Amino acid sequence: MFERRSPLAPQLAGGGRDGADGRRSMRIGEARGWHLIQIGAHRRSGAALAAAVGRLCGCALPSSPRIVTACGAHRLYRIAADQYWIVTHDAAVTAALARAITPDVGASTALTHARVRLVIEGAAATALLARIVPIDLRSAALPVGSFAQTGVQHACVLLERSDAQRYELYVLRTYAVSTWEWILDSAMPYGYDVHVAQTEQ
Amino acid sequence: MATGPTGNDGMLRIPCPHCGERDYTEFRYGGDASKIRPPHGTADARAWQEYVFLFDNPKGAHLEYWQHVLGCRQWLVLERDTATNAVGKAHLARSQGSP
Amino acid sequence: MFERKPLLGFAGDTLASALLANGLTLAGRSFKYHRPRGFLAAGVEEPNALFTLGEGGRTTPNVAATTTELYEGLVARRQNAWPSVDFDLGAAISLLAPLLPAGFYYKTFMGPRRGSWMWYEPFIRRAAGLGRARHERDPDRYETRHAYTDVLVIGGGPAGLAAARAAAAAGAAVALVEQDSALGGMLLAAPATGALEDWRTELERAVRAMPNVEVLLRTTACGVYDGNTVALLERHDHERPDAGLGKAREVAVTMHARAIIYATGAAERPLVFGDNDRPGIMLASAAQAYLNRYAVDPGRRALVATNNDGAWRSAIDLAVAGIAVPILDQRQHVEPALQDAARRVGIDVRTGALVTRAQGRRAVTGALVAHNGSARVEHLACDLLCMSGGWSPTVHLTSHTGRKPVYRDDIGAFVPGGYAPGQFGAGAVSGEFALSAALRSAAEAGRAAAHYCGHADPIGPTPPPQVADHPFTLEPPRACPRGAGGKAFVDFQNDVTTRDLALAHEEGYAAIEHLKRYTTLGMGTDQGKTSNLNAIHLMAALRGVGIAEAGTTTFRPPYTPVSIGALAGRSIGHHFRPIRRSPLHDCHIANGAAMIDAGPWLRPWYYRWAGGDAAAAYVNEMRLVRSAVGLADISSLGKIDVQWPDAAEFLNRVYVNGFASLPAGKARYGVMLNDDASVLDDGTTARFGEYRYFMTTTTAQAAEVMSWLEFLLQTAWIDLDVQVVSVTDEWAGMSIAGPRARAALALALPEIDAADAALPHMGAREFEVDGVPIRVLRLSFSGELAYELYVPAGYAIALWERLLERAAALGIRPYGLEALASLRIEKGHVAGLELDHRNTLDDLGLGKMAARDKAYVGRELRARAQLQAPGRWSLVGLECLEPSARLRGGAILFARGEALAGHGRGYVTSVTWSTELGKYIALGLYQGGLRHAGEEIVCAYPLKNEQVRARIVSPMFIDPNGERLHV
Ligand SMILES: [Zn+2]
Repeated sequence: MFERRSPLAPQLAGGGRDGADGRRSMRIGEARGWHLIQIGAHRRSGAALAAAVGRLCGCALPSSPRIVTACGAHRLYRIAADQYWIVTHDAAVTAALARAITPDVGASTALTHARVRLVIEGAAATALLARIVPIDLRSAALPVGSFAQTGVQHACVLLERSDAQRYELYVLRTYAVSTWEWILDSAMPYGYDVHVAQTEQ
Repeated sequence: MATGPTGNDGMLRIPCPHCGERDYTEFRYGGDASKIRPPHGTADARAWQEYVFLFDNPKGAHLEYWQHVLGCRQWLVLERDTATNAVGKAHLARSQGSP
Repeated sequence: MFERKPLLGFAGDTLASALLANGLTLAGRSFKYHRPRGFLAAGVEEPNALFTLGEGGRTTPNVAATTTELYEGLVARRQNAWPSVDFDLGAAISLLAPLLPAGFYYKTFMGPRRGSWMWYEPFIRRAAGLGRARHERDPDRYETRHAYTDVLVIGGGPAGLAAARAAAAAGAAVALVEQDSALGGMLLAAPATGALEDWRTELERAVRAMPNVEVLLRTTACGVYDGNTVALLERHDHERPDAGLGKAREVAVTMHARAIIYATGAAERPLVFGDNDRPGIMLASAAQAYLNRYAVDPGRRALVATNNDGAWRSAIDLAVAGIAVPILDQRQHVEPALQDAARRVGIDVRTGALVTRAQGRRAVTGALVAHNGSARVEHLACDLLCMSGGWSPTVHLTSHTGRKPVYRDDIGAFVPGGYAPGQFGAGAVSGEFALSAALRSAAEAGRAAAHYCGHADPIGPTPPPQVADHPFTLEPPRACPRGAGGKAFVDFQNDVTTRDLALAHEEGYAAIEHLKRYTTLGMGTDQGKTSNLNAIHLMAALRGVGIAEAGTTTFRPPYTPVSIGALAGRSIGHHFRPIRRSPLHDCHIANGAAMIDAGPWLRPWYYRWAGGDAAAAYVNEMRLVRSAVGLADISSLGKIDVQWPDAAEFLNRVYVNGFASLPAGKARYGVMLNDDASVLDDGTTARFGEYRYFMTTTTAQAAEVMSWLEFLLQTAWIDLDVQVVSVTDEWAGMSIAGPRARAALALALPEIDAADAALPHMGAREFEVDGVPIRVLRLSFSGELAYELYVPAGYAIALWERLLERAAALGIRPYGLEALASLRIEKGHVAGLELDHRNTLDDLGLGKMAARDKAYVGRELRARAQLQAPGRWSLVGLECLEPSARLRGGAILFARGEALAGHGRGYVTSVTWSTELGKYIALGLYQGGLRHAGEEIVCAYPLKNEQVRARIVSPMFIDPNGERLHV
């Protein structure tokens, strides 16, 4: 068997550090145990793609470019007009999607290994993110359950607000260590614990 | 790298039709969008010469391509006033027609 | 600590107020003449009192003492004194003053002998420079962050507070920024008890109590940019931030506001008279601030000289505090109510009185006063001379986005020349100097700004305080009479006098922008906050034109100096830029790789098994690949998933060579051109299914190619149904190369059928090993039998280790970037150094690749005569002819016997030691290219004064027929 490795394996052994006031007001870590597939429709295949997703994921394709569609073990993100991400615990679903989405239905690309999913959670999470992303984090602009594609240190990220004080960041794998170090540096004044979740939630 | 907030290079806010209004640092500039690329296979070298090398330098309203590279990766056509830097509307380049 | 002597002060003091309270009035020496200077102002406009704060790496030069909040442990010293302020050798320069007019440096030292400036420069800089920066690393922490708000109110004076209250009451989220450590603005200089202070306290309490108002103190709005984006600088020095705990000293905030309210107030101007720079001469408002806010007596016998109503308030406060105050107003007619109010507190009121010259040297001792309509000049003694030449609205920020201020005669000052959309003015900045009028304009601005953001809840105006409130009047400043004597300074920081202005005018530098460059007026840390308007007044008078015609200078960010540290934020050290790491990174470190930066990537340069340094190691690694088998990380190549029915047509358009006929199970090398026919990139694309392709690009051009493909598909070829997705991060890549590569693959991965029949040269197949997909492409960069293996990135290390372990018997070892690059030079493959976006397909010897029977991007412009000229610099191989010498990248190529001058006939792009040929070889570009094959040329390397003989040969140094690839 081939062992699967996280690029953050050495970093996650770090433990954490106290903030300026002696407390640790965040948990920062990696969520594992998920699969990501990007699917897209071409001009004539929107309905066919929606049908395939409906059949295999049990939900409609999201119409909003901001709101995450949560549906059982799956989360769906509309990342461009006709492009979607599906994140799921269930490897069987991505495999089934890859098979079902034939060229007349659309296209699929596996991206599970291309991203690392970071979780930042706690009282100082929003203040920390204001130091690393250039977007409006106020709850009217980024409500719980919404997402935004933006950049950290000029590398693209997908940022999801999964709770008022909980954010998930999908970062490019090859930038993951650099982004991780950047986040930890920014988190210094607040203090943090380092945390790994083998399966999400 | 952090955005240099006091850099003298302007601070456009670009309304991405997909993602909403964002900092110009998330985008990549792509040139004059009022120029029409000769259809693929056009054998007329003069048409290509014109398209590739000859540009107007208008003062005022301008249409330009920007790609939301850190966002949805869509190429946009953005209205920008070259005299005031005022940003107008944007539409996805692939959706034809004027903004 | 101040200059190693302890300094006592109170919380809320500035360095300036504490020094004044300790009896220190000499703040430093002037820039050019080394004249003693005191504290002119009490705020950001201070031109004189620049101090150096901190020690070692923390040293910050040129900080205004008037804005430096006192805190425990502050270390400060005066500067621009050689060797010290109190005993100033440079002061001898003031005796030579007539030799130092404007333009002095350039006129005197730039000629007639070239080089004389270089000789004098260190001396001049040392005598005239301001504070000095240090070379040590700054140990403090600086940060950057983004913030968003509906309404940003800039300035926390009465207008800012009232505007914030109005905007917040209407329902808008408000951020109120104030550069000072307290809210109140000019009201902080009012008496510490009384109706005005009670009113201020109540207004501050009301604003702070509003849940949708965020107050940011010690925060300066430095610049206003497009889209109502404002650069703020937050200072935390007063907290003595500990970088070790992650506490930032300064934070640069990019504030994105939907609306901006400028409540930036106004700054008082000096009067221009002889020796108006003596210590003890200060702005009337500054004297009032020191007296009321800091409880410091700025003097015992004061004179107040003015041309406007504003200074009367200061005079009254001084008189009430028991300081004797004659008031000298240049105007004949002053509002009787104001005169009565002054007389009631015992002020000696004199109208039509003009100060012509100050007396005293290290401190002011008196003034000469001319009375209108009389030749009599009176001498009045004083130890404090307060002056007021009127008030200048702080318009700087309003003009950062390109709106020029306009002059208003009635207040003798520039006001904003309109506001950008979503921007509003409140209070003194818009010329409303009387408090009640300022508050009315602030309430209106607050309401309008909230409305602009879509909030329109009703709100009443802030009630004004129950205090006397006079309308403001002023008479334009009168030029100081000729022959009054002394130097009359216009710009204190740059030592620009009325005489310099006259000289600039005579020499034709009369436009304000020229005047600035000729005299340096308005430059420096204060950017002419106290001098610009007086200079414009004086120049207008010299030219005999109105102020509007004389013009104004352009204000640019930053409003006040910003430390470089704050701009850099945390983007320092190894955070300077993001670093990309291969999925195999940890494994390389464990295998003893020396890493090297390659663009954003960290890549293995060479491995310690092969040698102790790169020069020794890469040749051993090359030998390994040529003789046995090596394993290299190629994960940094760009990888793009290309899908859908039109994918074949799409690839056929972007590559110069044909891709329409590429069958499934095969890969093909391809070259892409830019529209102008320069080469964009090369790489291979493999077809894995009817509609599924796997494209690789060079490491360097990966992002460029991806955007270019998206551009074509989204703007020009929207009729093509093609999907492109970057999979660079999804797939790790490794190259297994060498005559034993197939055997190594068979040992390590028996599931993969790599037999020549199953996987011929340029074959591409997908396998599954232990449930993990592996894509195998048989293609070679080195010229040896080689396979590229692609695997989902999470399994990269497992696959790499399996290959090394299971094929160990064959001698497999990893090889690095240096060997990878050297092997391709031997094979004559072009790479990034040759693909520099200037060379054409033909320049690189690849012209034959271009299909004749189809269109491709760049085809038409490739045919241009200039690009087909026979003399173009094109690709050649070079063999070193001198056994004891080496070739070097960047060497300039000359024909044999030709003079070694100019740009030569080409240059060396890539060099390596060839293990096969036993000599240095290179790729280069040479005029006429391979038409000169066999000729001996000279490779000149002027940096090392080397000239080495070389021969032009085919760039394919090894295996020209490709026999090794087809075994
Ligand atoms: Zn977008």
